[in-house]
Amino acid sequence: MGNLIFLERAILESLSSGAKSTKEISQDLNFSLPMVKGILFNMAKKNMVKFMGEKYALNREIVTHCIDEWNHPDSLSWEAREILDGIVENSPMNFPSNSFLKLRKMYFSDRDLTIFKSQLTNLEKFLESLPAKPGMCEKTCDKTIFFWGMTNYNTVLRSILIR
Amino acid sequence: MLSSQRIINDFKYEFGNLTYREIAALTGIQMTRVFRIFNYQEMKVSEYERFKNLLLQKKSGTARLLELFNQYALFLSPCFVRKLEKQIEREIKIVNLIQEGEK
Repeated sequence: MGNLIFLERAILESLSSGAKSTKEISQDLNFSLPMVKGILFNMAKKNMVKFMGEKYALNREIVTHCIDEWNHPDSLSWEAREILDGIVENSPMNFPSNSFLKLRKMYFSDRDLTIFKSQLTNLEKFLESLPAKPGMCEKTCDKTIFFWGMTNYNTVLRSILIR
Repeated sequence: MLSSQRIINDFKYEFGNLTYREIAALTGIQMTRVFRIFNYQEMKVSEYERFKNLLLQKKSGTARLLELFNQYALFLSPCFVRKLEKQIEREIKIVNLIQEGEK
């Protein structure tokens, strides 16, 4: 089935809350109708979605069968790249805004690292407590993507230099 | 079709109604030589490159990309090339999806 592009993931996510017409998907994702039709046409060819009357629904058999492939680290790293590309291209670096990216470079002492990890655990617990599925009036396109991570110069330099 | 004939056909298509004199000035190739090339005589590699570069320039953004590839492809790491290949494939997939929707 191959890797999913983010547009396809978004459609799958939109349909995960129930069957929708192309117009409903278009509104849910804020995509143009022709684009939704194009993506759905392609997904229908691969049997990922079924056309039922006037609405499209997930083909759960195929989705269950492919879920491991779509969540493969390689596939997820492409999703992360697409998200990072999107935010780097379109976001101001300043907070507050609904979309921003911040980078900070610093030295951690052992003590600082311990404090940071405990703060991070709290943050992760808070994020896990938030709903991943949309509420009744919420659209998929309004879902927030939050990402975090850290690395060091050594890792980045090695990834640039050793290929 | 030979690649030299193909590039001449592409050149005629892109540059339209240029005279042999104008083509000679544009490419830096002698006019009699241009005449012969346009009448199916084989091109030298240097002549082929001149026509190809002019065509690439005409195709702007993509031209720069192709030019970089032509010059540096051998020096790029296989890992980077694979990543780029995948990236381009994904971009093509997106373009195809959008085009399919517009049909």
